[in-house]
Amino acid sequence: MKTNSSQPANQIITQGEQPQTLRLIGLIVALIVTLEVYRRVFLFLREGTADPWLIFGTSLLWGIGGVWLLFVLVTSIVDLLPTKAARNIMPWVFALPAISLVFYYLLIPTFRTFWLSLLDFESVKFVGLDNYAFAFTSPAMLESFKNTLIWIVFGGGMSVILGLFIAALADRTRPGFEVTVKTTVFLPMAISMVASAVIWRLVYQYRPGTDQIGLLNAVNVAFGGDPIAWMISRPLNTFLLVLILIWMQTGFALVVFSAAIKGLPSELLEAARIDGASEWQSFFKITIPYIQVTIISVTTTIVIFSLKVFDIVFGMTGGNFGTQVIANEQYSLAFRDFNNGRGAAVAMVLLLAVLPVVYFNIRDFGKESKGF
Amino acid sequence: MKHTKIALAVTLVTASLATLALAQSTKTINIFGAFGGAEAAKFQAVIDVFEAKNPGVKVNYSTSADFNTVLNVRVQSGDYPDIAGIPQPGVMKDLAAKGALAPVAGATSSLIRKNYSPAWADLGKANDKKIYGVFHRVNVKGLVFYNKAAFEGAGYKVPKTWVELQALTKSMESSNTAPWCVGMESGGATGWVATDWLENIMLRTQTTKIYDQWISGAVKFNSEPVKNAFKVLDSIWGNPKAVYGGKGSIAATSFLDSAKGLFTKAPQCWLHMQGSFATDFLQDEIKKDLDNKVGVFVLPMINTKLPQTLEVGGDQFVMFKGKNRPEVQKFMSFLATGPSADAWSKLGGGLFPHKDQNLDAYKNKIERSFAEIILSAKSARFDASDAMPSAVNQAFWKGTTDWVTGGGTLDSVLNDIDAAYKK
Repeated sequence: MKTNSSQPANQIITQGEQPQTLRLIGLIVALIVTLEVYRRVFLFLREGTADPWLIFGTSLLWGIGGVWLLFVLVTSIVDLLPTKAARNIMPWVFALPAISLVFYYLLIPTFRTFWLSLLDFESVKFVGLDNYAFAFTSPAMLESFKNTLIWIVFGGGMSVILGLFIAALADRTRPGFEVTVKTTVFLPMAISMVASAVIWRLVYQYRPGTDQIGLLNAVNVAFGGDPIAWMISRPLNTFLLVLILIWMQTGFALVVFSAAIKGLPSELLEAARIDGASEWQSFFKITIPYIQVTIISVTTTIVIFSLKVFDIVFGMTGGNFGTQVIANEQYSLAFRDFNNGRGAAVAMVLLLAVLPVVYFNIRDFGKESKGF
Repeated sequence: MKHTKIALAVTLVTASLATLALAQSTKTINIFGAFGGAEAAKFQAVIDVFEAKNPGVKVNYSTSADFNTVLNVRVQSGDYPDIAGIPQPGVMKDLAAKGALAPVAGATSSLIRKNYSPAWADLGKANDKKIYGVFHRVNVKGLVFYNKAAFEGAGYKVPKTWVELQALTKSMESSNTAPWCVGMESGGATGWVATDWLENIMLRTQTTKIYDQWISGAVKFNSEPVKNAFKVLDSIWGNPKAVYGGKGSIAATSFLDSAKGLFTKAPQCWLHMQGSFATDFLQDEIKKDLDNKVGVFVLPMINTKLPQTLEVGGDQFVMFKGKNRPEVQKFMSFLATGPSADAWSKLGGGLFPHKDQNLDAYKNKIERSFAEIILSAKSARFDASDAMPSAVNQAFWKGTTDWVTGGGTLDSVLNDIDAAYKK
């Protein structure tokens, strides 16, 4: 190979055929060897008995170096094929890994979950729709449906409304101030859900007596109130949990809305002002219709987020005290009660609830990109 | 450029193959258990003793905060550890029934017969009557802790009977400090403090036969014996003067914080009922001087006609199918002997049921006294909720939590728990 590349160009053309076939065979052998090593590495990692650092190093090495090696080998092989074939195959070299991962990690599990939802708790007997009957009648699930609705309506609604108003107001302030406001409101987005649950546990902390370490109760006691055990006061506790979602998602809504408002042509607003429209009128009659598509996609994104909410409830109340939501109930059924059938059925119900919203989200996303 | 690529690739392949070959030549035992943190560090001392005696064998202990979930997922996917330390006999029986476990070898089972009382050997048996589990660290529940200095300073006497205890708490109510500290908040596991109380009341009001039938589901939750236990519990928890912060604070207070209430600057309460492990929850300065600061008595029997029965708990170690290699069996046998207990008991925070353990090894007198309580018990029963099927255990936790926080009437809560038996 080395001699080949250092030889003059005319020699490559005349002697090209022979070394190329050899090279192809060599590369294919190398590919087979690599795949075999990959198989062994996989078995080794699955065994998991070696020193943790060895496992860590091996997975790092083969997660990066191995993928690189496979990529180099496959692209080199494709490069040696006739130009037309190479052109047709090359896109698949790039797309196939992603497609097969989606197939393996999303499609197969979805169908398997559906199948499990028709079987009993240990996935042996076929029980038909019994698990779905459970999913729509059990007290815990009815409570979850009710609470999830609160999450969507109150959580989604407040995040969008707050985000929109802060974006509209911040747009009218000095740029420096606007950046500060936007950064402050956006910051919670950067915190993981479980970490926010930990933060808010401290805010809602309750102790009997007068010494309060929880922020909310400290304020409450300072103004002469009695400390309240927030997390066990129904139905207030669900709303207090939703507040965490609003705290996190308002920043997301704000940033997207702010960008959309900035895209609003200033001539439109100027014309409206000249025609004598008030600020309120121009906001509701011009700004909002103009960014409508953005509002819909932000709303649907937050609604999907609220439907799937798990970490906050898991971290704050564990689904106790009347705060259960669908995703946490699914976890409890599948991984605490070890009831595969019921867990799978609830997962399918959740999937069915999310699908129309996803469809809405994608449809409008398509509209938006057509507009550009 | 081409050169570096090829060199890189060749190094990658050969280096990996070499380490793989190397890694397979050492003998390792992988243990997956429910306890972590300080407890895992103390278990490491047990492992160190074993490794010193068996050169060439490496023992790895790993844990997960969500132990049951992870173990179940690993079993489903066939990714067995060699040994698992399981806190719930119900889980062990499920796994044995699924055929995922290997019964202990003959050598181990004769050690168990020699070093344990029959009750512990029975707790390690699955439905097929074979021994699968070796108990190592255990605990005893239904202990009442008190602040020695404050308790004796107030002139209180340790009650010997339930009537005396009631009279004692009555007189405590008129002091400025509440009789009991109770906290049951424990994240996703909220409820176990309440089930522990109820189980202890059951063992003090009902025969062990009824208790066993309650575990197996023959005695329903919505039945007189269980309802009565709830009523006894309500006579304490439901009395606003009897619990620090009142009933409303129980579910909002962490079980870890409630134990500390005995030793706050102005004590919040006189008494705290918990398992032997509660000494770990106390303030650091108290933990350093347990013998002088902490007093303990066993919750007295309510029905005095019944013999005293202890509630116990503990992790049992089981071997998985196809993993019973000689070195794994050797470790299981080691756990059934006294030296494995002494390695931990001298560090504190662990009680052991081994008859051949060295009681002098215990770090402090209070733990030694717990161990003596365990060794001398004529009758013991395992934590009932842990012995019930997982779904029932979960429903029991949730049901008691709902009952305490006003999420349902006693009847509706009991019916909900009974419904969990139907899958």
